[in-house]
Amino acid sequence: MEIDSEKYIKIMSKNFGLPIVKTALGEGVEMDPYSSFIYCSVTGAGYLDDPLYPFTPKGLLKLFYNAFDYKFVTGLFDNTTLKNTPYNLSLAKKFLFNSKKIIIPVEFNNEKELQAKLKKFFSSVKNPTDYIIQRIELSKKGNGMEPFLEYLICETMKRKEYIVENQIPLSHSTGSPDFGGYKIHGHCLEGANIIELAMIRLGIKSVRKSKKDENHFIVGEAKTSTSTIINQLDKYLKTKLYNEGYEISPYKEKACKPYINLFTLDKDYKITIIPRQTDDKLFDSDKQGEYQEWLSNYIKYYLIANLTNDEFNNFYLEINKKKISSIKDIIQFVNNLSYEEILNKINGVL
Amino acid sequence: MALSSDEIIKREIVDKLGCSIGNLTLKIFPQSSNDDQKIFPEGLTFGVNGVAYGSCDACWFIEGEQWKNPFDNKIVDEKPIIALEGTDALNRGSSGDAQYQRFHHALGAVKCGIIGVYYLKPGVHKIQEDLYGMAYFASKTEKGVYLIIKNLEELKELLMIFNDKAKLNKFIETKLTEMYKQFIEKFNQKYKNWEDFANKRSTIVYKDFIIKYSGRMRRNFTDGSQRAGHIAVGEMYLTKYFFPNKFFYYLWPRMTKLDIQYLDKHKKDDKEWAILRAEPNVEIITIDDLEGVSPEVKTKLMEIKDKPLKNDALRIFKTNVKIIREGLFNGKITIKNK
Repeated sequence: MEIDSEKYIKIMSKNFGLPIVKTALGEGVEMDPYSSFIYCSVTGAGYLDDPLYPFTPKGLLKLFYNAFDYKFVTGLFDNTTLKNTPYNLSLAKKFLFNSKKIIIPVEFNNEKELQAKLKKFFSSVKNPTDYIIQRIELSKKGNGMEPFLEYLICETMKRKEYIVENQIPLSHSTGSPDFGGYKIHGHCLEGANIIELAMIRLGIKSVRKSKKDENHFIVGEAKTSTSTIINQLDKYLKTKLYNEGYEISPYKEKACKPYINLFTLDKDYKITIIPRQTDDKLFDSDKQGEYQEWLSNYIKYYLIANLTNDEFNNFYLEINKKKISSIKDIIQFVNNLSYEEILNKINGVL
Repeated sequence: MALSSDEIIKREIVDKLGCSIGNLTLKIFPQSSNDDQKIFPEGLTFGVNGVAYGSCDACWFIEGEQWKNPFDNKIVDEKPIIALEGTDALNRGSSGDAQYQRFHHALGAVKCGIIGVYYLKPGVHKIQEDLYGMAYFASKTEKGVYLIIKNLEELKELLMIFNDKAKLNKFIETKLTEMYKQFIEKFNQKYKNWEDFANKRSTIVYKDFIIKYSGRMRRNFTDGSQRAGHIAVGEMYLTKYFFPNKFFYYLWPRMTKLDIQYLDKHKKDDKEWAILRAEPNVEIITIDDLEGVSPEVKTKLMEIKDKPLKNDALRIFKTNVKIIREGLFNGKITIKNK
């Protein structure tokens, strides 16, 4: 099934109850600004602040180069400075959180055609930044809608209490799974996109504390076309980090292997999960334990991103009685903080 | 590609430089777009005589001004002025080779006679001084100018003065002088002279030509994850531009003529392979192109032809390449039909 504009609207309204809105560029769906920010961060859809290069937070909020490691890439941090945090972005781009947004799926064959459509629409509406453009790239296999599928599974699994993220930085040799979901043993957080953890300051209320008896990690790979997924999924599962794997394909009725779950859409465009047929143990407790340790720290950096640079520097100074002088200082500091300490700090600055 | 730095770089360009400066308009595509791989003006790829180089991240052009595209000799109504390839590699563990791997992306523009810019966003690693040398010598050899920058303010200045020819020439001259200085100071620290450089960098220098040998194997090019095309292209340009007046034989002793024929057949749509095969004054040669190699040496190299170069395979490679190197030096081994 190729997801086009029409199907997109059906999927969004039927699964998330979003109101359908008519615009000069076609039908769209209305979404609150916080959910819209998450939507854009996952899918790469862009706010219509500029018809040439609509702003998207996707790719701007990265953190580490690899799992199990603490090497920053430019994103949330730029060297020792908090950079592209949702809060900093909200200050630089006031339109992000000031009003409800309408997401419009726009079909096009090439960039020239899209830009012509966007320029015309841009000059015809009063508040262009109230609109978000979901690209439907007809020249690509599956209309380039894989990131949209990542959004669908992220939202679904978030509601099942997982901390979710897409395009996860596993390792150079293993690659980057399209989707990851984590229920983490012990006192942690649950039911949020990892980016939402950095949006508490902006008013996100969905982040909940939890206590889990055991780890449960899931991984998924999305394809909108018929090309094979299993090689990639097997590669991720071979790491023994995950309890379950998900094939994310909108057109299928059966997963490619009996040990894989299928995340799909039914004939009415409703999200459907077809559970795996076997209950093979796919993970290794020791390996998962190491991953849990890293993930537990990984999450802390998103929480820290609620602070401004001044607040973060003062927080460091209060505890360490000296200033931050290197990335190593930051890593040591953040990894040793508890969730409670960070959440208290965030509450203190709200 | 999850770890791509595209959006970071492109967003920085748009936020710092805007979508136009004076009469120059910016062409840039979102990260998910494939249009950058199309030839300019539809895309952001430049090339010469049918050979396309890697795509760039952004290009500034003059709308409505005619330009004859050296890729296909077609006249288009957009004249490109500056093409930029950017990377956050210095923040991503790229202390060495990875910096060269994208050198050819902006080189396409330079070969077309415009200004190619390779922007390396400052990070935890420093820019390899060799890169400055490659760009400097490319500027002296090709039709256009190749600039390495680490600050978008520099680019802004360039875009602002573009229409003032005297200021533009001065800017370029100053920049090239700085780049050469960065290169030569490090070069003089590391090497006594070019001969010393050649000895340490698997290169043999003759009067009219050079031979650079490397451990490339066929599988490097057929396994997509190995990025051998990018690595080999970077290595090729490093050698070519450091010896701009000499013909360059790029020797891959673990490969045979049949391997090259196989890759020619199966990688004909691969951009990096096409560049390697079409680069003027460069020829890839294999063990089959050498006269005077003993059967023992050839057998040993063929035994490790598909093995990763580590442990025993690396030892065998080094031992036998040393024999070939000595043979090439003393004339007992020569290039066939040369």
